[in-house]
Formats: sequence, C-alpha cells, structure tokens
Amino acid sequence: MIEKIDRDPTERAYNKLKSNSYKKYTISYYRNSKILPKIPLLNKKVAWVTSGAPVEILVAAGIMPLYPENYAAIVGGSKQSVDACIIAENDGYSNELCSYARCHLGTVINPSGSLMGGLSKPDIIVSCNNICGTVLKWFQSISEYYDIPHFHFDTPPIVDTKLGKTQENHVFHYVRDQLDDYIEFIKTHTGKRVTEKKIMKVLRLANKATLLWGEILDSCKATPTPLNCPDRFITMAPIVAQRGMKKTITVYEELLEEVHQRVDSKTGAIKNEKIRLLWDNIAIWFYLYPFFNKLAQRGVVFPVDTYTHAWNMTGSVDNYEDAMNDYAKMYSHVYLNQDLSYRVELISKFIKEYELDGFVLHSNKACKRYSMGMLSYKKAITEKTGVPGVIIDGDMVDSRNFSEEQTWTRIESLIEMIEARKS
Amino acid sequence: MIFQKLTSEIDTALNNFDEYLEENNNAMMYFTADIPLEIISAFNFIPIRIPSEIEFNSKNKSTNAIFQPFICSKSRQMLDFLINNNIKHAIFSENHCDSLQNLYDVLRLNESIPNNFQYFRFLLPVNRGGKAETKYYQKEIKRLVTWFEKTTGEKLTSDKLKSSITLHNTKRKLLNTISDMVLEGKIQNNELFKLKLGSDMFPVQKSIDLLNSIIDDRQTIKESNPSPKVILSGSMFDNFEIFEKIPVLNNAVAFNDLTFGSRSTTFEINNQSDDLDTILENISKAYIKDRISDSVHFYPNQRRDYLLSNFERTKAKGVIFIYYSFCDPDAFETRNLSRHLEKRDIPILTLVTDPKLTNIEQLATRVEAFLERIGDL
Repeated sequence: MIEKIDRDPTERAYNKLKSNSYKKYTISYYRNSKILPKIPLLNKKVAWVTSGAPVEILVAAGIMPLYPENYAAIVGGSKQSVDACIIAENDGYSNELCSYARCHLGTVINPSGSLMGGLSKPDIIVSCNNICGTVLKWFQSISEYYDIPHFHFDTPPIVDTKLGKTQENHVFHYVRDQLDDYIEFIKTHTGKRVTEKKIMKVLRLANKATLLWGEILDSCKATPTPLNCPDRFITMAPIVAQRGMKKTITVYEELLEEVHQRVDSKTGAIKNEKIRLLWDNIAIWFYLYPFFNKLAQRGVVFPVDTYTHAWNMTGSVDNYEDAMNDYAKMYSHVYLNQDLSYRVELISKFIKEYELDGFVLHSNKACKRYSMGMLSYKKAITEKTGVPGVIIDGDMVDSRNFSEEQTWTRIESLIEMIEARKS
Repeated sequence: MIFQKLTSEIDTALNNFDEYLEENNNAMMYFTADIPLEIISAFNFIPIRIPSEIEFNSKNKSTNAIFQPFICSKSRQMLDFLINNNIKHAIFSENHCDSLQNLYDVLRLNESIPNNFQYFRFLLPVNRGGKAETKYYQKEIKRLVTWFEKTTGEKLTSDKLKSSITLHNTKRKLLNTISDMVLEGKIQNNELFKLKLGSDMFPVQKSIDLLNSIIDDRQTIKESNPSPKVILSGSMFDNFEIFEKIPVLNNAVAFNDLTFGSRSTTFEINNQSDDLDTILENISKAYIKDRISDSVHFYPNQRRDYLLSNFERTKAKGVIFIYYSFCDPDAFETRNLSRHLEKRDIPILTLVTDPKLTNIEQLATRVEAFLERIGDL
C-alpha cells in the first residue's frame, strides 16, 4: 500500500482550483437541457451525440447536444452507475459491454430512478466511430428504443503511420461528403437550417476554445505542474460537450488565467511534487479523487494524459471550404482512430516534453478500443523512452471490475522503481 | 461416400494447416465476409478464411501474454493463428470492430511477422446500403487491385475478373441450393457447413466441383422434415463443429442467418460489362448494398428484415442467437434483434461461447431445453 509521507494526514495534499465557472456552466447546461426543450415557443431540439461526433454543426443549427458518455461519467462519479448498469443487464444487455453504454441505457430504461431524471429525450441521435465501434451499436439501441432518426458518421482509421502514411485521398472524400449528408439529415429531421455563415461562426468559437484548452494542457509542462489529472478530467466537460459556444471560451479564459498564475508563482497542482507520470485511458470516475489524492500524498502527479489531449485539435477557419475540409481531417485523426504506432509516438513525445518519470496505462475492461494492444505498446514505449510503466486493471464506471488492492500493489512497484532510479 | 471423402480431405488440411499452406503457396488469408474474394481469385491467389475449427500447437508466443482477458475470443484465436502459422499473405479488415482494428499493429509490435510477409489493410466502410459507401468501397478495392498488381507484377484485366466473378457466383448459387436442401431434409447442417468450410479454403473451381457432386448425390433423397425448427442467427460465430457436437441443434436448424453461412452467399455480382471500372462498381454494389450486413455495420433494419422474412419463409418456431464472448457488436445486435422478436412473441435463446466451444455441454443442455419448450408450443 502507498504510505503517506512527512505530512499531517488531515492536510490536503493538493491545491484546490479556485476557478469554478466550468462547474456552474456544466450544471446550468444540464438544467437548461431539462427545461428549454419543454417550452414549445422555443422549438428547441435535442441531439444525443458521441464524444467524437462533429457537434459544431448541431450547435450552428441551434440544436442542444447532450453527451451520454459525459452523463455516464457524472453518474459514475456520483457512484450510481452500478445500479444503472444492472438495470441494463436485467433488460438483456450483456455485462461484457461498455459500461458507459450499460450505465446510460439503464437510465434510458429507468429515467425516474436516475440522476437528474436521466437526459432529456432526444429528437435525433448522432454517432461517430472515430472513438470506438461500440457507440454505433449503443446509439442504434437508443434509436430503436425511442424510434428516432440516427445519423452515423463513418471515419475509417488512419493506419500504417509508422510507414509515414497519411489519410488516403478517397478516405478523406468519403468523410468530407458525409458532412454534407449530415447537414441534410439535420434539416430533414429537425427542420433546422444551417447556413455556412452560422457554421463558420461556431467553428471559430470552437477553435478559440480549443486553442485555450491546448494552452492549458501545454502549461502543464511546467515544474511543478499546475494541473493534475483530476483537475483536467473535471474541467474537460465544456470542451467535449459545449464546443462552439461562447460561454466555453469564458470558462477556459478563467482557468487559463489561474494556470498562468500557478506557473508564475510555482504553485503546483499538488503540494510536494516528486514524481511525474502520464495517464493513458479514460478516468476511473467512481475512484477519481481517492486514487489521485492518495498518490498526491506520496508526491506523485500526472502532468499529462492522453484522454484530455484528445480534444486538442484545431483546423482552418478562414473560409467555409477549407474549414470543412480540415474539419473532416480533424475528426478522422483523433487519437483512438489512429494506429498503435501513433500511440507509441505520442506517449513517447509526451514523456519527453513533460519530463516524466513513468506512465500508467489503465487497462479498461469497458473500453476495448482504448485498451486493445496495451500490453504490446507498453513494452514499445519503455523501449523507446527508457521510462518504466505499469498497467492497472479497471473500468470507467463499473466498480465491480476494479480492485483497489491490486491497483495499489502495481502502482507501488512502479513508484519504487522510479524512486530507486532517482536515488 | 462422396461426403466422407470430402470431410476427410478438409480435416486433413485443418489438422495439418502448416503443410496445407506450404502446398498452397498462393494462399491469401482474410477474416471478414466483406473482402472481395473475386479480386483475390482473379490474381490467382486462393482466398482462405481463417477458420475457428483449425487445430495447431502453439509454438510461439501465447495470446494470453499479449491480450487482456476481456479482448474478444475471436481476436485471440486469430492472433494465435497468425502467430503460429507461416502466413505469407493476408488482408486485414480495418474499421470492422474495436478488437480487430489494431490486430496488425499488435502482430508487428510483438515481432510476430515474418520478413517476407505481404499484407493489405482494407479500410472497410461501416455504413452500408448507400451511394457514398458504395463509391468509397469501389475506390478501396481499386487500391487493393493496385496492391495486387504491385505484388504480383501482373495487370488485372476485365476477362480475368469476369471469369473469377462467374466462378464465385456459381459457388454462391450452389451453396444456396445446398442450404435449401437442409430445409428439405436432404442434407444436414453439419454437412452444409463442412462444405462451406471447404469452399472457404479450396480453390474456387475445386469447390464448385465438390458442391456439384454433393448436389447430384443428394438430389434423389426423399424429403424428411423433423420438428421443431429454429433459425440460428449471429455474425462472427464461425465454429461449425457445433453441429457435430450438438446433434439436436444439427437436426433443428432450418436456416442459418450467419455471416459465414447464408449471408455470405445470398448475393450475386453482375458481370455483364467488359469495362473494368463498371465491373468493380458492380462488385461494390453487391458487397455494400446487396450482401446482408453484419453486426458491425450500419444498415438500419436490413438484418431485422432478413431474419424475419426467413423466419416466415421457413415456418420456424424460434430463433437461437449465438455469439463469441466479449464481442460487443454481436452482443448489442442480439439484444436489438431480440427486442423485435419479443414484440412478435417469437421464442428466443441466446448462446455465448468462444471459437473453441469450450462450454459445449452447457450449450447443449440449453439448446435441448429450448427445443423442448418450443416443441410444446
């Protein structure tokens, strides 16, 4: 077990963020999503989207996007996800399926017994397989359950990056053409028209927010690092779910200011930074703070992770054609849609740039796309960087697939290895 | 007699697969049903689907050291196969499912690929049935053609491709005829799938000859129709030894709705044109629009309609779903299709297994109980 060191056990090992508009913003967004679609005069439509789907066009159409993954993470953080998963399992969904999907489907089946009464019922749903193939089947279930239209944005993966290959031209055109089909789908099924002007306005706002988010992530290279994993996991919600909205920019301006202040004053995310690690995969939401705070007490901080960096891509916003072309490329090139060589390269780059001592790979039973090949790329990263890593077993929201004891045994061995190297 | 000879030939090949591959130096391994076999054959390669029934000794690395326990059992079996056999050529299906997407990378990172290994990573569309994905698939098969031309130094001609299409169309028709003979009681499911297995690993002309001889042999048998009858439905499930290991299932299945069963044969490619581009377009239409999709694809209602229409046609009394453990697309698809069947009061049974059918006794008991139940209806 990890031992606390040299500190009063009641003393907090981390510096709490002062910025809190991200929290207020997320709460008000969910509150509005329950109220606004019920006001007939507003004719507010709701779309459920996957985290990698092109949301900016929905925002430009005045449609309110809601993210079942984001919601499942909140339910997980509230420790209500296992109950929701069991409801889905009792309805016939296999317990081997993605736990975000099971958790969310449980709330669809039983909204009255769910956090916030479940998400507002959608008018349309949009999935994109750039983050995984499961979202397609999950959203297909929802589409059939509610009998509502479903658009699937198909993004073939980027392969052979080690050989210097990029996206084939016909793959690009396939993805690009689907954006036009998507606009048509929105118009057909919601009656909402999207103009080029509106799209450009939203893309510019989304770009600005993403640049701010990117700057926040880059600032974490500083020593001590201004943000730890839980800080980024919690503050990422607007860049995932509210990209292209004005308020998102304000939220990240506030956060960036605090990050800058921390960097200037050498105030770290944790109080006694000794070891710097990378986190790969989705958070273990039900164990987020106990996990990272326990490590913080030991002086272990995570200046970078692959998860929050997934929303750090921008494109041209000069004119509509270039913007839409870049947009198609951007959605094809997300982290999980590229091959394992890319993962090895990116994590190795992070290890160098963020001056890390090691890395933690979360072998997430609930996310096969993120976890497939992990044992192989762990070895490749260590060979490339000389930095040790560890794999821990877990699950993003199903605590039945997580063993605290086993996790700490593995983490402890990594820390001992790093401490031995440092001494 | 003809069938026993064929069975013996297939079993010999499966039990000595290394030797079989050695003898067939032009074997092109593949593992999903949307790979255009016509193109492979047109370049004089033998398309061979990686079979689940194969027996081999794990000589190299164990899959358990490479994959976590929750990675789908079919991916594990395929990785095992690729590591432990001397494969020279393969087509990897990308964009198929989360477990298969990085299979090639895993092989490469584990240094499990021979130096002379030649491979193509086929970027399949997930969307099915529409114009955009058909056009896209056509471009992707053009890329495949270019790869073959580079690999073999031979140019694809419309004549070669047309001949190949004719052969594969014939093979599919013969398999459909044999599938109908199952319904008529003239042939058993275990025999049908043994033939299918052979036709997935023998050169196409040889398969046609074998299928013809079986049809001639069985044509005169009088119809017999034991009850009750069920449909077996699934996607990636492909260990057809299940029919030999569970005799009651063998007798009860009237029709299969399986990727490597009926869904790989119920389409025909138009080869009336002499223009190569037009022929490639026809191949694309057949694979993307006409072929009944799998659980990983997005073709709303197509699977449901296919299953229901065959349920009506065969006058079946129930549906048995089967899929491999940790296969997310199949698990979702099974639940989604079940919902439609439940609305119609159609009895269903869901079986979960692995490519080696390690829980066969348990499966047999459940099948027997289900058949008893629907037999009473």
